[in-house]
Amino acid sequence: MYILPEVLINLFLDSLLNIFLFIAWIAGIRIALFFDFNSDTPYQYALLRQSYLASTIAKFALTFKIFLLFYLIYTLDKLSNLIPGAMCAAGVVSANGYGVWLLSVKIVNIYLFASWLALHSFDMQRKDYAFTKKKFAFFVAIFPLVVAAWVLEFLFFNGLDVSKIVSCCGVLFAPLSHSALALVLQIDPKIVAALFYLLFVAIVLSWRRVYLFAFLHIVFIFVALLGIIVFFSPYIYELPTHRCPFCLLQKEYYYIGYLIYALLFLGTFSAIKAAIAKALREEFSVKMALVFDIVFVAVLSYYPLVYYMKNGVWLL
Amino acid sequence: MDIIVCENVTKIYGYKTAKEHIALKDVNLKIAKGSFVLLMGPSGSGKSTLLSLIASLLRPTQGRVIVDGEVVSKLPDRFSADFRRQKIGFIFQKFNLLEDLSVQENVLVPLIVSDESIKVIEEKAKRAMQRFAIDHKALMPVRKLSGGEQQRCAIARALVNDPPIILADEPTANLDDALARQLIATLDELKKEGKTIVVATHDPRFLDLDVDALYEVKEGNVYSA
Repeated sequence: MYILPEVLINLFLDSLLNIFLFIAWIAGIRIALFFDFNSDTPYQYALLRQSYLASTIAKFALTFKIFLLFYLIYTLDKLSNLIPGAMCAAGVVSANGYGVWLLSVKIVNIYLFASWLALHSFDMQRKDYAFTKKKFAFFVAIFPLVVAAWVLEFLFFNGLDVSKIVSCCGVLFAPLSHSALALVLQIDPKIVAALFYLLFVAIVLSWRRVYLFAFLHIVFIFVALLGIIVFFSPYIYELPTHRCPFCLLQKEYYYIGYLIYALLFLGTFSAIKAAIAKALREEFSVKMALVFDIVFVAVLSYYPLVYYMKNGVWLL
Repeated sequence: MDIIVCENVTKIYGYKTAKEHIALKDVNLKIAKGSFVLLMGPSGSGKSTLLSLIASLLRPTQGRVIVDGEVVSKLPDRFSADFRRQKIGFIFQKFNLLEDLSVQENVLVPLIVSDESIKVIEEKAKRAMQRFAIDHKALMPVRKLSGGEQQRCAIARALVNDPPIILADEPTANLDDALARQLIATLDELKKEGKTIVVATHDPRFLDLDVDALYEVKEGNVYSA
């Protein structure tokens, strides 16, 4: 294991937050099973107090973990300076068998955490604890994924081998490679770009139908990531052969990747939150989702447009 | 119509600890809207605890407290302040004024979080101070006031929001005879205006009033007297 300060910070903070979450989880099981607003017993009053404490712990820890994902990505990028062959976080992620799993579970988790936070915020607006039982049942259900991400993080950092040469992103995201991604990467960039913009238009047009709006956003997460790798990243790097979703997180590209991924997360999550609100018959708005979507698409579109204006050609 | 209902309310301080103390035992109480109710009993009998439960300042260990149709015993803390601001005027034995603030500022405190304009809340504060004859000392820090003036300031603060329920905890304990009688007369006047008044006291001067109900609180039990 590399004892880099960034690695230690990740492991320490994750461990610390998980201790807090474990305490909340224990209380959460009791609340999910036995909470009954109509009961006036001492046990029910104890559960009321515990629900407030456990919610506060979970709110703090899960919010912190969302930001911690971005710090993990920064750490992976920083590790690329030490691992032979790695040019960015992509090489580090592929350095052992746990990297892709770790990143995948972490990404799924931030959507689940944000969904829990949305459910919690709706519950906080109610005097009758209408969603308390539901929110703790949901919390109890997602906690194993919190543990899974934690275990994967330890296995991943522990499994990094300085003597092993890894592939750089140029190899990993090359259409002719033997990676699992290769098939997808062989899709014509024009088709990917068309799919990206068509889906964006469909999202904008579907704003009145909230469930469809949220579903299209979930699809958009994958299409946007594919679009970044296949279509947009060569314009960001100004290099036709350079396709990578990680290099844009580096200083050379003004850390633009953090803004792009944050906007993608905020836009897609705002749409999911609106759908959750509708399902709970709470007030909702899709305005924030649309604002984040439009800024996201505008930031990404800026690169091909500027490239075309400067060079008069498209990188297709 | 009952504006305050206590159903099987038990309050135990330090529940399930070595310092466990039973303050109220299985109390059932109904107080009609617009009535004047006295809770009488010695110190430590549970009167203040009962008032605090009605004001949602405390939660019971068991049972429920319903005020104006709302189960306040389970009201989340973030809603309790709003409930008290709208429904309850609480007059404390020791006034609980902010000593470094002026009379006007103390009276304005419950209005700070309201959505009304500054002009409206200042007008409300002025009316409350005039009503309890404390407006001439509006800008004076409350620590410089006499006991009676402090009590009037506390009443003005409790009533500035025009709450339907007034809870008073030993309101005459720190007053001389004249001021105590004045306060009792004020509470009687508020009752005639339709307010529900609940007074926890062991002051026999309240018995001169035509109260609607008198309860004796003894060792955590509440008996109709």
